[in-house]
Amino acid sequence: MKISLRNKIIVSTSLVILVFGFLATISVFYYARAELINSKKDVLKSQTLDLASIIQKTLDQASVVSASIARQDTVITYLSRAEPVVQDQTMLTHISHYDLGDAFLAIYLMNNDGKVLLSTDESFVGNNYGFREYFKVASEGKSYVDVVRGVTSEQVGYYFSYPVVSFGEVIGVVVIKAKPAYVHSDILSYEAVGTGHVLMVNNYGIVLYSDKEDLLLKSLGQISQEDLKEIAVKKLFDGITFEPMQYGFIHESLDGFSELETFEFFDEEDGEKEIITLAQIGEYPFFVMLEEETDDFLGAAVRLAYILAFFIVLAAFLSGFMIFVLISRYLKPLDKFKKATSKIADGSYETRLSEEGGDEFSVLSKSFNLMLDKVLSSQSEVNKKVKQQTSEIGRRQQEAEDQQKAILNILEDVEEDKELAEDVVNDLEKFKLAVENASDHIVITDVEGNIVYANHAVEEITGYKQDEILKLKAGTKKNWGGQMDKKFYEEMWDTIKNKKQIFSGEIVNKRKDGRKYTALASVSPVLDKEGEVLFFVGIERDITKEKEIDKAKPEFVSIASHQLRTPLASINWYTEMLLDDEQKNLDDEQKTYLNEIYNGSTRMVRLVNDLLNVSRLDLGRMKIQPEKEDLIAFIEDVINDVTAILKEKNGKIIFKKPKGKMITMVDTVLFSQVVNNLISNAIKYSPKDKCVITVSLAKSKGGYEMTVADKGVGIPKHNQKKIFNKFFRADNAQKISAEGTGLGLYIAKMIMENSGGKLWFESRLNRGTTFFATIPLRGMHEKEGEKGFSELG
Amino acid sequence: MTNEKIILIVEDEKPLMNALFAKLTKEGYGLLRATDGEEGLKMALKKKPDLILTDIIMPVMDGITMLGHLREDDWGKNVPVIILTNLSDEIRLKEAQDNNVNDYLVKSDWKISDVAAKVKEKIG
Repeated sequence: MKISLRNKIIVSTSLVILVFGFLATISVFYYARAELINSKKDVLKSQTLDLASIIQKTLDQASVVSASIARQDTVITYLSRAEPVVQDQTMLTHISHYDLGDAFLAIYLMNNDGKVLLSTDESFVGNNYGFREYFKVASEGKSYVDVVRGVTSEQVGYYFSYPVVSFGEVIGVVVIKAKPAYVHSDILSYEAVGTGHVLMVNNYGIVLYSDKEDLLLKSLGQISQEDLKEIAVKKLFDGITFEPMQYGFIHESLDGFSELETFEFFDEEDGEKEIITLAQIGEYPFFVMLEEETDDFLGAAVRLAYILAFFIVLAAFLSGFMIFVLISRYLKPLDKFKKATSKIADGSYETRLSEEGGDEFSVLSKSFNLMLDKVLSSQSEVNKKVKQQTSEIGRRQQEAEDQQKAILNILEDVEEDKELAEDVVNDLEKFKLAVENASDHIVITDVEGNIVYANHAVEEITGYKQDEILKLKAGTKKNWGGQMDKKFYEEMWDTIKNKKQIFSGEIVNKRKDGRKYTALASVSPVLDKEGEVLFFVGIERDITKEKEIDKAKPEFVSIASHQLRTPLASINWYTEMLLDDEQKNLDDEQKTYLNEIYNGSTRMVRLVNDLLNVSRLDLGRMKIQPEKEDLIAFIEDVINDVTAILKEKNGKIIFKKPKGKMITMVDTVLFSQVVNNLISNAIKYSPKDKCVITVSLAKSKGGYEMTVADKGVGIPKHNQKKIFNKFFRADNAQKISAEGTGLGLYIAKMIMENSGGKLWFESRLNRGTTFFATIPLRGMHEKEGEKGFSELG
Repeated sequence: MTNEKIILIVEDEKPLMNALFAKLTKEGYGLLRATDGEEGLKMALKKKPDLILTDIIMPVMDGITMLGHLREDDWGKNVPVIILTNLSDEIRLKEAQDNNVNDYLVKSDWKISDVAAKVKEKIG
C-alpha cells in the first residue's frame, strides 16, 4: 500500500504527540494526585488546629468562669461559715448569673468534704461527690477539666472545677458541669466546612464526640489494662465497656503526643485510603481528629487528567491539520511541475515547455527546466523545509502544553486562594461568635493595625462604640491608646510584626470619658501558611480594680494595725500602772481581774503583730536581710530567752551542738522568730516535770539542719496535714492553752521557705514531736522588701 | 526625786499622753506637753527640754516632719529623741534614723515601765 509523504508526516507527527501526551498525562495525574494529598493534609492540619483552638477557647471560657466564681468574696465568705445555709437563695441567684446562656447543666459549690451545698441543679444538693476526681484535684488547689459520666444523671458531661481558697487553705470547690453540646457545638458549626468526619477523643482514646453516633464511647484502639484501671479508679465512665475501633496506631500515639500528627490509613472495610489529622486541644486531655477519604477529593486529579488528555488529542488533531495545510501549500506547485515532468517522461517531448518569449512564462519554464534537473535536490529541499516545519510544530505543541500547564496552575492557585479566603471568613465568623460576649476586650486588626473587629467588651471597657473605631488604628490617641511611652509601642510592634511573636504586658489606656485604666494586654499575630502576618488579635483585661485593691492592701493593714495598737497600748499602760501602784490598795480579786485584762490585751497585741507579719508574708513584701552569724551562739541566745517559761515547767533543754563555730548567713530577726517559736512550742506542749527538749544542729551537703525534739503531747494524726495552715491549732493544743493564734508555725514555715530553706516535722501522739528546719549551705536567701518584721510582744 | 530633767511629750492621743504624763511625773521628771508636731516644735525650741518623746502620726504636722525641722536648729540637732509610735515599718524606721533618732519604740509592744526605764537610760 502506498502512503503519501503528506500522510506519513501527518500520521507520524500525530502519533508522537499522542504518545508523549499520554505519558505527560499519566505523570501529571500522579504528580497532581500527590500534590492534592499533600495540600489536603495541610488543609486538614490547619483545620484541625483551628478546631482545636476554637474548642480550647470554649473550654478556657468555662474554666475562667469557675475560677471567677471561686474568687468571689461572697463565695469565700459563704464557704467560710461554720454552717453555710444549704441552697442559700441569695448565693444561688448569685452563682446562677454565671450560667452563660444556659450552657451549663449545673454550677455547684462543694464544701471541703465534697458535699454539695449549693447547686443550680437541685438534684445534686446534699450529695457527696468527694470521690470524684474533679473534687480531689481541686481540693489540692488545682483547677480541673474532664469528661465524666454523671452518677446521678447517667449522662456524659464536661466538668470544670476550681478550688475556693481562703487564707491559703482550700475551703471548698466550685464545679461547673457543662452539657456536651456546650463544647460540641463548636465542632458542629465547624463541620460545615469540610467533607470529612470529625471525632473528639480524650487521653484514653475514648470517643467523646463523633458525627457518626455509633462511634460514641468506643475507643480508637485497645485500651491498656493500666488505663482501664485508672478509668475505673477515677470513676470516669462507670458501667461502660469500650469497643475498640481500627485506629490502634492512633491510640498508641496519644502517649507522648506532640501538638499535631498526621496519619495515612488504608481502611480495609471500604477499601479506601484515608488521611487523618489529630491535634491536642491546648493542654486539656482532649484531642480533635479529622478524617477524610482520599477518593472524595482525588476526583480532581482524575478530572485534571481527562482535561489534559482531551487537550492533547485536540493538539494532535490540530497539528495534523496544520501540517496538512502547510504541506499542501508547498506541494501544490510541485504537483504542477510533477505533471509536466510526467508528460515529458511519457515522451511528449514536443510539448516541451518552451523557453522562448523572454516573458515570465519562459523564465518559469527555464526555471522549470532547471528545476527539472534538480528535482531531486528540490525534493530534498522540500523535505528539509518539511522537517523544519515539523520541528516548528513540535515547538508550538510544546508551547501549547506549557501554556496549558500554566493555566492549570493558575486555576489551581485561584481555587486554593478561594478556599483560603473562605476559610478565613469562616474562621472569623466563628471567632466572632466565640469572643463577642467575652468579658475581655478583644480586637482584631489588619497588618497595619487598623481595627477590623472589636467585641462588645471593647465598648464596655473603653466607651468607644464598634462603628466609631472600625478602620482606625487600634490603641492610638484616636481611641483608647497612646498613654504609654514611645518605646513601649515600638517594642510591641517589633515583637508582633517583625519577630511575629506574642506580645504581652501591662498597659495604661484611656477611656472615652478620659479616665485612665490599667489592662493586661496580649497581642498575637495570626500568620498564614507562608508565615506572613494575616492580622493581629489583641486581648486586654481591665485590671484597674485589682491594681487599686493591691495598692490599698498594705496600706489597710498598716492603718488597721496602727488603729488597733493605740487603744491596746492605753489599756496595757493603764492596767500596768494600776497593778504597779501599791497605794491604790487593790484587793486580790481586783488584782486578778486586772491581770486578766492585761493578759488579754497583751495577747491581742501579739495577734495584731502576727497578723501584720502574716499580711506582709502573704503579700511577699517581707524583707529578708541575712548577715554573717554563728548559728551555735545564735541558738544559745534563743535558749536563754526562754528560761522563764522553761522554769515554770521544771524543764531542761539539751543542746547537742557541734564543736567550734558554724558561721553562715541568717536574717537574725526572722530566724530567731523561727527558733523561738519551735522551742517555745516544744516547752508549751510538754507536760510539767517531764519537759525535756533536745535541740541539735548539724551541717551536711544539703545545708544546716536544726532539730527541736520534745517528749510532749504530739500532734494528732488527723491534724498533721493542717498544722502549718494559717490560724490552725491542733485539738490537743487548744485544750492545753486557749492562747496562741495559730499563726506561729505558719509564719515559721513561710520564713524558712521564702529564704530557700525547709521546715517539717515528725510526730506521734503522746510520744512527742520533732521539728526539722534547714537553711541552705550558702545561707538564707536575700530578698528585697519594704517592710520589716514586727517582733512578738 | 531631785531630778530636774525636762521631757517634752508630743502625742495626740489623750489617754496615752495622760498615761505617760502620770508615769514620768511619778519618776520625777518635769514635763511639757504638745498635741501636734507644730506645737511640739515651737515648744521644743522655746523651752529646750532634755529629751523629746514623740508620736509619728499626728494632725497639723507629723513627728518626722517636726524632727526634720528640729534637726536644722543648732540646739535641736543634738537633743535626744525617742519615737513612740504604732507604725513598725522599715521606711519610717529609716526616716527616723536619718534624723538621728535614738530609739524607735512600738507603743503596744512596750510596757510603760520599760518606756520609763528607757528614758532613764537616756538622760538619767
